[in-house]
Amino acid sequence: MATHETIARAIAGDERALRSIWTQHAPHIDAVVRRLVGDPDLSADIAQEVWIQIFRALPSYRGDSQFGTWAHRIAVNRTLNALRSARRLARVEFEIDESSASVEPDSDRTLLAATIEEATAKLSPGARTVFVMHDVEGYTHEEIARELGITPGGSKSQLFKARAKLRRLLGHVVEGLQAGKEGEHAAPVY
Amino acid sequence: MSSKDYKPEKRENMLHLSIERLAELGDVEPTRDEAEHLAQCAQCARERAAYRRLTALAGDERSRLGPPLTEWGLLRERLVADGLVRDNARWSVALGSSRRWMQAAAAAFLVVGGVFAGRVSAGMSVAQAVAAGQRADTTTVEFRSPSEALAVLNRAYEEYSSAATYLAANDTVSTDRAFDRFRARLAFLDEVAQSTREALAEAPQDPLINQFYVSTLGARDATLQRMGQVVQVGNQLGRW
Repeated sequence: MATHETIARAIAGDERALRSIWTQHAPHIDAVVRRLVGDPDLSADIAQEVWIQIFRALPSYRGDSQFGTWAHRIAVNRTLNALRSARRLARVEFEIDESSASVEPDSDRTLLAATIEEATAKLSPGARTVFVMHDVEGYTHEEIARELGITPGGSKSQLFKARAKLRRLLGHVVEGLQAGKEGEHAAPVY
Repeated sequence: MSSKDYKPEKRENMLHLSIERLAELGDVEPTRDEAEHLAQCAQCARERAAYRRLTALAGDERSRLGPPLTEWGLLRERLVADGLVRDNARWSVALGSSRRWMQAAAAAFLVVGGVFAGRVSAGMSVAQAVAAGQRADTTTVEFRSPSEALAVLNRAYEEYSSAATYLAANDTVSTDRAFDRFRARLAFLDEVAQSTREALAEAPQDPLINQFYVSTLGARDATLQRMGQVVQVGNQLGRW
């Protein structure tokens, strides 16, 4: 945990203090960026911008929350801004991936995923963002709506569609079956 | 969702909960009507259980860490360019009046020196001890760039500094022969400092040599203090 003394030194431009903060929190902050962005190359670029933003904002840290929580918020906000500027989240409410809305028969095993991370990478950017913010990062639909400029209903709609697609992609995982087993697609096809 | 919102879908000649509602039930409780249906319909119950496991898996993701996306060397360049880090602050602070930094450096040096001395005392020559250290380093870590190696070095330096500070504060040297041992250490440090000064004259900006030199001076300072603590009453610390 970054101490007030470390933060004060970092604000004053002490490289050791800045590096100490980065060393301590990079595993969490970078993981948040990776989850929200998906694309590895873009994630690295955005993570760097996130850290610059965190260090710029240090003087505004009042200590009324855990430093990690404060930095986490900045990471989410900055990442969403970066994605927006990349036009990945433009009009996210209407950017509904139709394939995520349906659970049509699909026996293509290459679509199956082994982990949540792998599966979320297959979601549309808008659906992935809402799913990660709600189910992983713990944001409410109201908070997501504010952050993304959409309605809470739009957030819910995206979330449920994302879950439906993930449930299909991770059928063998959530059903507790082994991948590769014959008849592996555990999700029922209605 | 109220009971009147319960909108079953007809599938396979049977009414079921909609897929979206089942997805929603991953983290909310069903209405009474839905609960009754779930109690009777194995298919919907299985689906709801799957969605609950999915949301649980997602929640676990928050604590999962991955390899860092950022690299301190690159980040530092930006911070310097943006004026957020004082360029050269490291060396000016280190070579200046920061006693605390010197103490940390001294403690860190004690650990490195301890490993080195341990190898020598175990029968190795100095050259063998250095070579052993190099072999250990090169067989355990591979780097893709100088900046990556420097970042690792900096991280490692911080870690062993804090560990060494603890060890220095809990020095287990016994008092009966402590003075002689500290004197031997001081002589060793004087030789190292002299060699490092000569290297600095050749490469004054080299970060590794600077770091080593500062560590040596810090260790020398700390050793002098420890000598002062263990010197016998009535004796004065003059020369060594």
